[in-house]
Amino acid sequence: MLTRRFLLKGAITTTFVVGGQPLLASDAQGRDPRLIFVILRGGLDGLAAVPAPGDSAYHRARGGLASLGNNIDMFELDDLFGLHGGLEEFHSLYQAGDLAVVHAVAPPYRARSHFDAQDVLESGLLDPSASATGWLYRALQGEPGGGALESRAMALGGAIPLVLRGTRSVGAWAPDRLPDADADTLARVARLYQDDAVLGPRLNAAFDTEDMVAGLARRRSRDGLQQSAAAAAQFLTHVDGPRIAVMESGGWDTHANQPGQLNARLQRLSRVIGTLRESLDSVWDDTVIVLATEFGRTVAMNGTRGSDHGVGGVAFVAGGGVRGGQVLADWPGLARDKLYEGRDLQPTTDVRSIFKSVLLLHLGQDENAVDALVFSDRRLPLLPGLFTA
Amino acid sequence: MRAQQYRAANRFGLGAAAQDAQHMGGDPGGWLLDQVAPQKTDPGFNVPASHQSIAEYTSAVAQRRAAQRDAGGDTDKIAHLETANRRFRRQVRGTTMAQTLGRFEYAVDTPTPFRERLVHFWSNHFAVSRRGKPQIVGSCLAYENEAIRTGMDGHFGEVLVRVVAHPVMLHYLDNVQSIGPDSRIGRRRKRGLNENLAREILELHTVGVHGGYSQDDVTALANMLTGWTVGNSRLQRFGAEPGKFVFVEPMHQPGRFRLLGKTYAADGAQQAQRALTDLAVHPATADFLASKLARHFIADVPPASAVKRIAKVFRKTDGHLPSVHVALVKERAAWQPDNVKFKSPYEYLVSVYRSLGVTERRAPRLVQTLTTMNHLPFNAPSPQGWPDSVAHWGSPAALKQRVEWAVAFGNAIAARLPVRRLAEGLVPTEATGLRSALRGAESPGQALGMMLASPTFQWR
Repeated sequence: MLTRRFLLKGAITTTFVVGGQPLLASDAQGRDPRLIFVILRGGLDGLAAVPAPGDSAYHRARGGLASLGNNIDMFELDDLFGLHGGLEEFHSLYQAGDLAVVHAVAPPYRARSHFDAQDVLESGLLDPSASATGWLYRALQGEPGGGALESRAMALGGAIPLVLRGTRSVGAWAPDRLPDADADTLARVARLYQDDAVLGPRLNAAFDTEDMVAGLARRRSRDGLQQSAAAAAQFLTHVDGPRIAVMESGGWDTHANQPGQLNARLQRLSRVIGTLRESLDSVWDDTVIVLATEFGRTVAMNGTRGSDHGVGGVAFVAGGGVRGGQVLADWPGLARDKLYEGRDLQPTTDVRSIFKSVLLLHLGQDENAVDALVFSDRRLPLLPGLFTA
Repeated sequence: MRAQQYRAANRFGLGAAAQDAQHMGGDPGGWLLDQVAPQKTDPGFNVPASHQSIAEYTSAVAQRRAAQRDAGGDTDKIAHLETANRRFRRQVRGTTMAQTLGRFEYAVDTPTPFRERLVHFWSNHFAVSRRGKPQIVGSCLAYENEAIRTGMDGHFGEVLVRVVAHPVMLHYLDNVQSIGPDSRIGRRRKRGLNENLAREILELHTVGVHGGYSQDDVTALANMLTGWTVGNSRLQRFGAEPGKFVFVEPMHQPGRFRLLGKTYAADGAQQAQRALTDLAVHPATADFLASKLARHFIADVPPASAVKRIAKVFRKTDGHLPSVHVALVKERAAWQPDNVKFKSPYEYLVSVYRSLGVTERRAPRLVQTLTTMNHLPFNAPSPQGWPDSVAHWGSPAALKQRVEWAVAFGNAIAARLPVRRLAEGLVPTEATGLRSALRGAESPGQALGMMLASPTFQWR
């Protein structure tokens, strides 16, 4: 019987690699590393997600935001840091030693624009408008046999974020609520795309991923991020599936009435992490999940019970091989003279150090190549202590 | 359709309607220029005034709160209240659906599609979103008509002031709550600034992120904008009408402020208005807007020379929009025959309905399609509005969605349409491959689906 994929492959003449032979991925020890990058768009308030009640300046500096909100608990992480009560699944992972917090972290960018800060977070380069390609794209392209990007990496949620953008297309998957078209018509349409250099390869890639998550789209969840998480897990556990996935979560720009809003969002994010942990169980030791945002927010509450755009914030790294149960931070302190421009948490760690550590120590990439091609920065340090051994 | 006509109808217009070719005849450029001139009538889809919807929402919430207090623990009253709440939510949903359909059909039917595209462009430049803002759910389309559409024959600065003073924008970017910390009300209530609107005015609406401003400039503009708010029952004693713009002096941060090197003396609402008027003609604003317009009409990465020329017109005319829009039509690069701009989902769907001359009557179906394609109007993910590039809209998943939609839609609707004649008229003469593929289709439904799904139809 002809599957739809077969029909389309017959119809399109571009070369196409079936599935991902683990290209670089499985090394001599038989490791087959997975990476999920979750972009939190809007600027998560790092001091709300991971407060620092052990800092003697905390209560005075945060003012009305020192309390996370009525009936919202705080987990204790260590003498200095707590964890927002909405992040229950994060806390379980932290206690199991599978989740590390990186605090006072930011991309190398200080001007507080969402969109430029996201560009730096995703391009991995100092100049926001310097690149139309993402750091993860360039890292994957640099792998031996890095041609088959559409079967190596996957954007969940529809659009391809900058971090995975480049001259060639990676795979993409979105929850789909439209009826399937009949195979013959699709094959004819696919032929029309043969000569379109931009769209042809994209349509091809789309139909190939379809087979891998067959049935998933039918199971409806109202939460697109949950659906994406379930799909990501299916892809990453599939024997021929991609090993890299990127997800996006929006709505962290809490200018007004922050406590209630943020609590709901963090709970939702926590459930997503729970889903990933559960459905990636068989490959958990080979999996790393990185969650990062473009910037933190003002330390003090603004005039409307929220917070405005700031600089230093928080990131999370989870996975079986992560040295979890610790907050990695060169803590600058919250006293007024320690704040960046007197208002924001001073960043002491470049978020790209996390990315670089993951590329080198988890994906096993070459340091010289990463310095040259990915971050264009030979002085970018690794983040010590993130991985076991 | 001839090549120049095809470009006029697609790159500048909203897709080729049967009447477009007749109207433009041998002069596609003239057809476009006519649309930039003031129109006898272009009101937009008729909706209640924004202040009405905002006031209605506010009073409905107040009534509900009062009823909740009144109900106490009475289970009957609570059940009654819940029914009323559900009815209210259903009614709001019905209103937004009807507006989505109305705006869409207005674009499908308009005899001035270039003008309509410009309204959509500027509306996206000054994007507002219903997400998380229940106060403005029913009034976003009114905002577009009141603040943007009415400004198409004037200067950019007038549109800017109208937008920033519009209740929908003041709600959307939180300025309604921003209070000068040293103002009378600020001191009494211990509330303060919210710099959201001020930052986005600088970054997104005027000089752009490279416009050379600092955090101090953001704070200065935020201070000047304190007191720009929306009338409600509490503000009545300041002469506020419910749902309308009002300047409340006791919320306004006193003093003069320095923005981009210029000092603005304390002068009530005039202070921010003067600052906005200056921002609107700032050279960086001209450059930023010219590059956005060029990206929309020429290419994702437009030639620098074209951007320069458009910016020059903007500067020379102090941002006179019709002059800037004429400059776009005169830009040779905008007429290049290659496929350069990938249609956004909304553009795509409007162009499908326009080309086929069909009317959508089922609002829920339209809303579902737009939602699935991630392009429901007034739902942009951020104040930046929707992106304008193939890199954003043309992902594999999105393209597949669109192809599947086209095939299903073509199949369903073909029986009502003269497919062969439509295909002859709509497919550009030089697209010979597509023409012969359509002739080989096994049914009119298949042919129509293929045409709408074809790459030719995805570009403008």
